[in-house]
Amino acid sequence: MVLIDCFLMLLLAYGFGFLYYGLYRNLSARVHGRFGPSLAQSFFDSVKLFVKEQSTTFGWMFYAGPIIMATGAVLNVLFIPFINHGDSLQGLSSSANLIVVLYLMVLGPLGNALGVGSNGNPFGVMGITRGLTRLIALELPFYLAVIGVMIDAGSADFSAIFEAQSQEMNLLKHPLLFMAAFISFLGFMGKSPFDVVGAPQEVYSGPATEFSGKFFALLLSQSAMFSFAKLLLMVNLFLGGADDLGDLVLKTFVLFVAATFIGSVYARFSTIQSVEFLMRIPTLLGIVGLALL
Amino acid sequence: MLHFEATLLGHLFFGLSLLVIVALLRKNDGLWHLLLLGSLGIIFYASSLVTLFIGWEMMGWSGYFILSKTARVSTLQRYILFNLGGAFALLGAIALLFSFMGSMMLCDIDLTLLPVWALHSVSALVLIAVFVKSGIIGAHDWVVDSYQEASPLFSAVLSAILSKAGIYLFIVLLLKQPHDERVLFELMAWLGAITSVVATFKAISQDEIKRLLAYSSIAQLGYIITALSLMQAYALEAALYHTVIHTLVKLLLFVNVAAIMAITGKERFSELGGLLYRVPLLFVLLVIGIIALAGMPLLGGFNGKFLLYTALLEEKRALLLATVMFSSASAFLYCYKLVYGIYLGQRPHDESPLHVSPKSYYIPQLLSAALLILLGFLPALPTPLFSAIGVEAGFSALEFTKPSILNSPFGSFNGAVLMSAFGVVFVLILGLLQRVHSKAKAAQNAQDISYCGEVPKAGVNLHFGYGMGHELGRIGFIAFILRRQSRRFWDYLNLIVGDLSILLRSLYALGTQHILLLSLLGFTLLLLGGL
Repeated sequence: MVLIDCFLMLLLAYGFGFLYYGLYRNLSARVHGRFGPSLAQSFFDSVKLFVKEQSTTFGWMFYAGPIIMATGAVLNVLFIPFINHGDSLQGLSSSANLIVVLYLMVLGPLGNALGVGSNGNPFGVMGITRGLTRLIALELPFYLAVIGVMIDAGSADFSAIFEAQSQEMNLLKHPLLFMAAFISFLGFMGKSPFDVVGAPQEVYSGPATEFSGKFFALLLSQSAMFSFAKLLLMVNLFLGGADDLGDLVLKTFVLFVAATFIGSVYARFSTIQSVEFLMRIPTLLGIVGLALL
Repeated sequence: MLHFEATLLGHLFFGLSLLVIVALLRKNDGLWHLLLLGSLGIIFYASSLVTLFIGWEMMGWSGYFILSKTARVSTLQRYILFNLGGAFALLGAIALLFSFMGSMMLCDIDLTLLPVWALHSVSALVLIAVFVKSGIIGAHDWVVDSYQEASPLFSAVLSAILSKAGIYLFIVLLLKQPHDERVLFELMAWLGAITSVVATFKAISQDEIKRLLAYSSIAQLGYIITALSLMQAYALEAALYHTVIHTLVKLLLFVNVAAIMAITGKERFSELGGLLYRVPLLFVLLVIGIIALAGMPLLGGFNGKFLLYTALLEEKRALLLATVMFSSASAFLYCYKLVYGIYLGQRPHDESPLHVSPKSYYIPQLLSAALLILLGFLPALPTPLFSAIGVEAGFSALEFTKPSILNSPFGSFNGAVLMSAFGVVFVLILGLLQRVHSKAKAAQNAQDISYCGEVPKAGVNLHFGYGMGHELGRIGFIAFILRRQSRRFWDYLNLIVGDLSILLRSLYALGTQHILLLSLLGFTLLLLGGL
């Protein structure tokens, strides 16, 4: 039963991940005055890349890097409950809690960093350093918000966090904490102004300058699933979780559209600008939010 | 007369010391290492304050003699000055305790009987000894140079074992504080958290591998100090758990680095790189070490941090928790620098032939890695022991269901499920990637990167190990941290003490008339004071 549940969760995350990826390219194109590709283009791209006849590898660590990254994304999907009650679409969430999930989110970047570092391209590692530097600044306001949510719920378990939001969702109860988390969330989703240089057509994001063929396809797929896992986490933490599948689609879609529109209209900060901004405004919002608990 | 008593806490700390020292024992300096082990045995099994102090002094001096084989005089001076300072503070605390308790036995200590001023004085003096030994920021001046200049294997002893003596001291002397007199421990909590943040950013900016590891040790000790300051059952479990993990991790990492130094003869990131395919087993072991050091789930490193976070949540210490979590997240940068700088990227151009590393380097690393993996799979395996130690210290027993589930009042997780899920998903994705029609063609070499830019010529430096972390100096608050140095304060103090010594020495050279005059002045002042 658990296996079927996990399989369904992965299928949903894969499907919605690519749907949202296609929508992101489409919506941001419209904001920029272009038409953009079809919704399924990213999915077709990944299939095409999977069946490419050749790809280049720099050895077993280069091979293992994207696999670790994809494993991290899959684990995140499996350990975050999709629905806020009952037994279905819960995956393995009863064996972990929010703190475990927060740390599992770093497993992917570690695999990426190891894989990218094992090729000879120094630009990849510069991208990794930028990404990690930005990551630590993104995490501070996010942690402040998450700590507030956990203290409010009196537990790090998702079931308790849902229970605490049964009357009023955290977005309304703790708007400052939500704002702090949402600004970080923009960065986690790779949206401007906190994104790392990347061009989705040629390289999946800044650091992965040497991945090609099936490696690139795997990175695209995990990126789509991981993005969905992050949307799911925000829905569970601040929007009270989803009552059913329709509610899940609605809430993740609203968050996704908000992040996409904001990301489409802002110019990119440099890494240092990102860090300095994140350490000030959202961190302050988080601290004030915590003080108001 | 020496007094000893076998306690579970003593068994834990001495067991760890035995593990590390036996794993690292070499013929050349075996005698001093055995003396060091003996002194640690005296400390961890002492049942009287005098025995404890004798062990403390012996530990300081045996460390000094081992260090003296490789370190510069100035480093040795700093080592001994700081350690003597700590020992004198401990002696002061012992004298105060004896004057109020009338007994030297540890079992007779009851801090609730002390007046407030004496309680604060004893606490402050013991904390000085603890902070010096643990290298808490401000008292860390001796740590970094000593770690760097010690022999590669003795660095492991310093980090894995000697730094923990302070933790033991705190638990036996200060853990049973009266509830309403904990101002000092509030400061201690923040000092631990600030130490972890500052040392983390200092670590990222280092070019010498052992200096990076030294700052990393300081940062990790910061977490333990913060955990201890909370003085509750799960926080004590967090501190003990993190002590065990840090011992295993630092044993692994320092021996790994020692092996790399034996193979290459280099000890800077700017001189290393690209060793992954030359020494793959060492690379895998280091990756296991950094995953545990970064506190990621799957390996034992996560467990101590999880317990610390939940203990802080239970105490509703939100800002303290955010600071600790921020430090922990920032540690990924230096963990990555460690693995990238040595093993990944391009090989340096002045590549000299590699020596074969002795097999003995692999044994302690494999042992540590195996234990870290085991604790990842069964995170609650040591909980009964920690629970019993907590009960010995006067806390209630910890919740224990089964070895694979680590419980805390704020949530639990199943390490076996996490590890199995990781293994199954990894194998499935690997299988998928292998079955895909596409074939992965090996690149010619690490410089075969022409498809994404220019073809690099030999001689162009493509390894980024040296530069990693330097850009952080442009970020305001990190630059502020990096500019601060406690060395300046200690140098200034040194200058003042030097001047005072000159003044004192000049008294010897005075004539009889001046001495008589000074004596008369002193006598008059005494007389006035008496009136």
